[in-house]
Amino acid sequence: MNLEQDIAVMMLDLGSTIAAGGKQTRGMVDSADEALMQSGTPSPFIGRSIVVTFRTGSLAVKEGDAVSIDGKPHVVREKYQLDDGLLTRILCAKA
Amino acid sequence: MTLTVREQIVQAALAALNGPSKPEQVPACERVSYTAASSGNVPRMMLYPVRETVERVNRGPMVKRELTVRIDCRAAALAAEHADALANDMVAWATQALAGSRLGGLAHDVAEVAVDWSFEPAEYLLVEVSLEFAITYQTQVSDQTQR
Repeated sequence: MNLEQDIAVMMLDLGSTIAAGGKQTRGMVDSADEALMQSGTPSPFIGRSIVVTFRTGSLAVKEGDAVSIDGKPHVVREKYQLDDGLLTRILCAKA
Repeated sequence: MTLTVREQIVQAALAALNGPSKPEQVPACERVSYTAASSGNVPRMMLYPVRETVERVNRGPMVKRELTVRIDCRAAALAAEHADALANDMVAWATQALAGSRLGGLAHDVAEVAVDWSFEPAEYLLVEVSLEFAITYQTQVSDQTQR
């Protein structure tokens, strides 16, 4: 099995359903809380980052596009290519 | 123990911000809080002192003080919303409640001196608008409880 096939299998086993523009794929969703604002203030402002990684080419999205993650509406804020372009990573916000 | 004039001023500022004229949509302003804000507990306002300068008046028995207090207004928005607009009511109210006030005679003046915006995109778009007010007042040289 080559790397692309490995990724496809991994996404099927572990991924969530990611849909946009009438298409859907499987993607790994990583969601974690972190202190995002703390400069000079006595208490942090905690936000949750939502990062989705999927096989490049399995879904065509760009910044500003609507995307659903397991059926919940989101918007793509940032998009990056990883691992020689085999994977695409998007950062999402709730829509 | 008698309260310092500074502490009386901070309490008076909080009372003004939380007074009966406060718009319904503006949250109560807290005294400095160490509890983290998150999308689940905003909008939120908190007031705390950040610095004070002290100047002797003509080598006399009084010092002139300028206390800077900061008010952080925090809100969280969905992607389609403008996060800074969600803080608008809090920012407007802070100025209305404090600027030009004498806080019941405790202060010579309360002046708005700066407004800063910070944005952080995440699951929700987070915004923090910080207002700074310079509060001038005076105390005796060797007694911060006496004006």
